[in-house]
Amino acid sequence: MSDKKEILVALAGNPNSGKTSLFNKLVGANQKVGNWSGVTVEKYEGVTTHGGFNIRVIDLPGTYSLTTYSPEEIITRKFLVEEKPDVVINVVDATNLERNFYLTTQLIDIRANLVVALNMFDEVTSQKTIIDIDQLERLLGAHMIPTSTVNGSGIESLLEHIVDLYTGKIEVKRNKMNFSQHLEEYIEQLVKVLSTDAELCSNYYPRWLAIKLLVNDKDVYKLVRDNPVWIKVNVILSEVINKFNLEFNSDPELMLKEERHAFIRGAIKETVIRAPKIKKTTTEIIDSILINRVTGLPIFVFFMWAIFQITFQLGEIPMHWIESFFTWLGDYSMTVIPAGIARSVIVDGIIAGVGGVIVFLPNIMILFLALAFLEGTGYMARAAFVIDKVMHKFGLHGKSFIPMVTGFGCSVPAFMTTRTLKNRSDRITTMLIIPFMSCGAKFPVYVLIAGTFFEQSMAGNILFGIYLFGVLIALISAKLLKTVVFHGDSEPFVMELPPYRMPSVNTLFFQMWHKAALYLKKAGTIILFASVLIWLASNYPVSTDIEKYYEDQITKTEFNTQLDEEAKNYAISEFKRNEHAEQIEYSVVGRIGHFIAPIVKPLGFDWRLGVSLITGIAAKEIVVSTMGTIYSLGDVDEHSSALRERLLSSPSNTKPVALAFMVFVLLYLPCFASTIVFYKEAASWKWTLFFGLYTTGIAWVMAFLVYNISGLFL
Amino acid sequence: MKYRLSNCPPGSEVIITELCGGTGAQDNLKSLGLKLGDKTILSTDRAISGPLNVFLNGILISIGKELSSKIIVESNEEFPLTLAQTKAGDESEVTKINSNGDIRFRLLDMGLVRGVKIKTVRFAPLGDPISIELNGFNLSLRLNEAESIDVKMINFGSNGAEKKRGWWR
Repeated sequence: MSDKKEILVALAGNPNSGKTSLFNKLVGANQKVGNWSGVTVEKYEGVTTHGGFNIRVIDLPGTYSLTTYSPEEIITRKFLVEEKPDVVINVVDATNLERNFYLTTQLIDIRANLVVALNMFDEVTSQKTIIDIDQLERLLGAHMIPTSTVNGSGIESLLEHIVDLYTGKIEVKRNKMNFSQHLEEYIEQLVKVLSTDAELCSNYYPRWLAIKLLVNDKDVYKLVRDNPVWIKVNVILSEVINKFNLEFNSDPELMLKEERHAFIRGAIKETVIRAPKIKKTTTEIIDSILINRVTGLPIFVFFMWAIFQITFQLGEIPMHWIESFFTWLGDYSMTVIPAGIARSVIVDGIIAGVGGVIVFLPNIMILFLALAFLEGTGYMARAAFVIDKVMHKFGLHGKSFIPMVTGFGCSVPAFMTTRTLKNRSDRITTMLIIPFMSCGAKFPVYVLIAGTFFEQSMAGNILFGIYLFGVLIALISAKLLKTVVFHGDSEPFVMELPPYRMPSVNTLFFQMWHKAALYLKKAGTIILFASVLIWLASNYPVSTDIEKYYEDQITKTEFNTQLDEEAKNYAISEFKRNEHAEQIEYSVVGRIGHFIAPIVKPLGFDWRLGVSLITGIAAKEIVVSTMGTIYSLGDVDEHSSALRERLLSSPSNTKPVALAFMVFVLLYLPCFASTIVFYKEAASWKWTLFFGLYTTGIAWVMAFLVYNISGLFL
Repeated sequence: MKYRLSNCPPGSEVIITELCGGTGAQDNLKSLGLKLGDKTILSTDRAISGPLNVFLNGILISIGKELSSKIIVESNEEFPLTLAQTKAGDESEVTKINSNGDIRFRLLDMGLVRGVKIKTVRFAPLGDPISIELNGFNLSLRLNEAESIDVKMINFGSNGAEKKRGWWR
């Protein structure tokens, strides 16, 4: 393998051009996913062999243009311009050449070694469209190969072309796109000036630089500005801008883009003959039902509900298997590893920690399979279209809706779905408000508290109220963050509504698997480390005094002849529970609980509630079991009547405290796993810190208000 | 130039050339006394989003906004018209993009340049955004983005006449 020569190939193309399917067809399962350095845009890479060569294929993110508008465009352009791949395959949707060729002409501008894959050619044939490929190759100046990922045609020929271009068996077609005389004049002047800078020209093609300078490209401006040629370049640029403004009442950017579109329209007019459209297309018919004025919203709501149900109801089944497997593994390890610190670290720390990571996998896989399906069919863009008005009112984007709904299940996958938001401020805002959508793990806490402190008839209303309160805080926060922190910066809603298509099963499963792999690789390791740390903090240090005291008590009880067997056992288990409770108070977590007691006192919480909030940072499920431990009850769940009695018997636990506690649990820092995923997705410590402070700050303020205001009535 | 009456500025003088909409709307318009070829002057004291006050053959009548969009009129003057003012089914041609910065950049890249023909496909269920067809593909825009795109009318959509076939079409 290693002695073979490697050809570096990049796949570039519009979103929805079938680029990912083509990538899967080219490299099969021989692919891996990573992240482009510094940004959370996925990087797909695969290897295939042909004609004695190793062909390494990079699937660049889908873009409409080679500007620096979104992270996807920046990555694509940077890779193409700076890494200079041996061959660039431009995947175009052959049923929509007008839009797809816009990118093609820009790829020609950067002088890429270009092969155009006229993808979805099977649809072209079935629509009875005729494309004069030879003529099109001549006009645009690039090799063109009809391909189809449905029947696999053209894939071999594509590989053949890659190798032939690399070995020089066939030549790259070069045909620069000519603009009008006025523009060409200035492009030439700029090229002449730029060519005097040898260093700049060895890295970049001067004509491309000239064109980009004329369209006001910020990055190219920055690039040229640091060079001595800038003085001359600047003179030409201000001249051209003045001239165009005076003579044509226009600017070079507008003229260039208009001419580019006009050139494409002309080329297509000459080479493509379309069969007259008689009946409505399938897409039009489906759209007239799915996004119709009357049925659009109900169908949208149904789809969202269905995704949620499938993810969290269906996901619960494998989650149970995973949980019981890890319980079994823990029990089994108990029998084979001798008692001691090592056993306790392995069983309660590592096995429980790994289990805590893997347990999210079914949710992530099902959710992303469902989302990949909606995305692949083309409904996802429509979903954003339908709900955008509501979301925009709160400064959000239509695409923010799905992450928010997912947040009701679990924040971890919800953060991962925000990747569909291209604008960073939209994305960070959405991520910051996701934890306010009350996740599934918080539910048992509400059931316990509401069920304990309020009568049956009220408990349901309170549960509903808590969820509603979360949504309210989320929407207000979004508006606040958008206006105060981001000053209204948001992505314009200029979005393609692609034709409906049936995605291939392969593509769906690859996408699902990639998400799962990303989660395990990126977040899993840190989550594991953190859970071990939290486990250590709640079990250490151990007080030998407490240990010795209870050992003595237990020994005394065992030798107490006045007690019968049953009474002895009862007393011993009581001692053990008390010991556990006192040990947790002595541990790091217990000490933090006491330390923060003054902070949570204004909310009406005693140190016990404080400790359960601290352990709740590990996972919200632990809040209830911590209460069990701390109130010396051993293993409990939210329906435990013993725990309810203990909670009620504490005089400081009143109804206002109960309400404030639920509000605090709803709003404060979500679990460690989701915080780590937040960090991984936001790729910023600053934002992760803000996330922690913001959620917990809001939680404190709201709990304080709820405690004091409800105290007046209850 | 032909326009919908609802898109004509106050004070303009126009001639009615076509009444569209379903039979209900047609009857409504006829009962107001509207006939093809009638000369109409839009009153200047029009409320911002209320009904249109119109001098029809010297008589002042008030026509609701929805109904007035079903009256196609002709004028010698050119009135400003944006994409946001078109109705589902209308076909128009881009004359100018008025936005700046990122939005303009994106619109131009997506092919919304002078001279391109657009079909207004539909409005979202809540009225915003809007879906259009250009160069053989569908694009959606928010209304405030569509407001920055000046267009001239090519063809008026059947505007409700289709509704007789059923609400789902």
